[in-house]
This record gives sequence, structure tokens and C-alpha cells, in this order.
Amino acid sequence: MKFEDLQCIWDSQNEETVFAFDQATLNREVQSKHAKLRRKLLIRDSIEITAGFLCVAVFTTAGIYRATQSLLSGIPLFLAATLILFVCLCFFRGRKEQKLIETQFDDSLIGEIDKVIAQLNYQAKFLKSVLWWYLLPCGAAAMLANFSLYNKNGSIKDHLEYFVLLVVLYSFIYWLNQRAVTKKILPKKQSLESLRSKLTDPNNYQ
Amino acid sequence: MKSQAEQNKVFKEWINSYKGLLFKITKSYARTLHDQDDLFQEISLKLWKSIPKFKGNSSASTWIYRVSLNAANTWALKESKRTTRSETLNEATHILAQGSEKPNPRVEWLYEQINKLDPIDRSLTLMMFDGFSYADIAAILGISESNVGVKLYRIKKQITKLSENLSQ
Repeated sequence: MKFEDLQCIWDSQNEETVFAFDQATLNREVQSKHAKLRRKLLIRDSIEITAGFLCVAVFTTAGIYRATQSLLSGIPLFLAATLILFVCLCFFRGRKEQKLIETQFDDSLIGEIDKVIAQLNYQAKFLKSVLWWYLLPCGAAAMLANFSLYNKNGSIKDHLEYFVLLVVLYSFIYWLNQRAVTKKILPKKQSLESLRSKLTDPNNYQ
Repeated sequence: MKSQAEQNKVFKEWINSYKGLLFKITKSYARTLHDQDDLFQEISLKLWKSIPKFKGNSSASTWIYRVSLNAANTWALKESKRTTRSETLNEATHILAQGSEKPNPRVEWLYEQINKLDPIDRSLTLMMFDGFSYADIAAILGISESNVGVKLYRIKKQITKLSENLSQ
């Protein structure tokens, strides 16, 4: 069969009767999906930021209360509040940078692929450095809070046990994050890069 | 900045005027009715969201093709989409239903062949059959016109070779 015959087959389809649908339902569904997506993103961001600021508020209030009794005993809690505030700011900065990436590429298919690759690169960088911006500050804040708030009269053994528990828990979180980078993000990035190279290189044809 | 009412009006016009084009893209990327319904909704959502960005620099059909193909390619590349979809299928509202007309087996065969191609070749094949110029295809994909020419030559050759089985 010649290509022209295939073109005739393609042109022969009565494309408008392939499917039936109700326009009003489609309009409703599109707007409801859009609203749901926006709500989901808002809830996700709000939970992270609210939880962080709640911790900051608790530690700061407890720190002020302690500081009225003895200035030195309030310091660990102020430090814990600062560390959690730092984590909140990192989350906030991460969201902002991801939004910025979305505006940097054109509307072509290659622009879309480049955008997703840039987002994956950013996510990989974010997760690879999770130790520095999330685990260490949160771990240190948890230790400081345990030391001066929840378990202030505990023995060294109690603190040590808590420390070991934190190390085990945070090591597991770290492992999960690195696994996500190697098992999900990098393979996805590689497949997009090979797709991009196929698109841009006329000699790349399988 | 368009108001939501204007956005809805444009969306309605686009869907009415270009539903044939959207159906072709949907059928080329998804084979089952459930998948087609999912993809059609995804494309519709992306189109609706793209309306405020449409400045009229290109024709509406080129813009719609570009947005729809990007949405379809992203949909096709989405990892583990099958499991996610099957989990949400029962909750989702279904938009598409099979049309009244009996499908032409030759057209169905062509869709099957297009569906087997990778997303890039699939996009190229669709635009080739729909008569887009090299310049338009190059702009939609973001590659050079000469690159489009080379790729289309190979696709034509490949699809013509496959059609030998059909004519037998």
C-alpha cells in the first residue's frame, strides 16, 4: 500500500462521531478537577508550613517561659525554634523555585520535556541534600526539645536511647529519599533525556 | 487576563470546533475507552488552563494541537499511571461514550499502528496525517524543519512497510 492510500484511509474517518459526550458535563468536570488540584496543592503546602510554624510557636513559647526562670534554660528551645524555622523556609524556597521553573520554558514539546527534566533535577538535588536542610536541623531540634522540655530530668542513658532512636528513624527517612532519587527520579530523567535526544537528533532513530 | 466566564466561552468554542482533532489525539494515545476517557479529560483540563496564555500569535488549531499533544505525551510518559488510574476509575466521572458509528477496520488498524510508535513519532505521524506544514510541526515540537523532514521521511517509510500486511 502506498502512503497516499494510508492518507486516504486517515481522511475517510468521520472524526466527529467517534465518541459521544456531553459538553456541560465536560465543562463541570474540568472546572471541578482544576479546583480539586488547587485545593490539594494548597492543603499540602499549608500542612507543611502550619506544622512547622506550630512547632516554632510551641518551642518559642516554652523558651520564653523557661527564660523567665533562668535565661540559659530557654536557649536550647529558642535554638530548636530557629532550626524548625529554617526547615520551613527551605520548604517555602523549594516551592517557589519549582514554580519559577514552570515559567522558564516555551510551549513546544521540547520545552515541555526540558521543563520536566529541570523539575526532576531540582527534586533530585532537593532530596539528595535532605540531610542538611531537613534531617539534621529537625534531629537537632528534637534532641534539644527532648533535653530541655520533654525529658529534662532524664538520665544520660535516656537521652542516649532517644538519640539512637532518632538516628535510626532519620537514617531510614534518608534511605527512603535516596532510594526515590535512584529508583524513580533518575530513571525517569534518563528516559526523558533519551526522548529529547531522539527528538533533536535526526540521526537518532530506532 | 480573561474572566472565568470568557474562559468557559472560549473553551466551549474550542471543544465544539476541534473535537474531531481531540478525538484523533485521544485515540492515537489510548486504546481502551477508560484510558481514552481519562486522557480526554486530561487534555480538556490542560486546554482550559491554557486559554489565558493564548495570545493569538499562532492559529487556534496549532495552539490546541500543541497543548493537546503535550498533554498526551505527558500522560503517556507518566510513571505507574495504570495503577493510579485503576484505583480512581470507579470514583471518576466518565465523559466519553462510544459513538454511534461503527468503526472502520482500516482506520482502526492505522490507529493501532500509530499507538505502537513512541510518543515522538506518534506526534509526528498525527501531524503528518492531519496535513500540518513542516514549519508548524517544527514550531509545535521545538525542532528544526530539516529535522522534521528527515523524521517524517523515515516514518512514512516505516508505516508504508507495515501496511503491506494490511493489503494482503
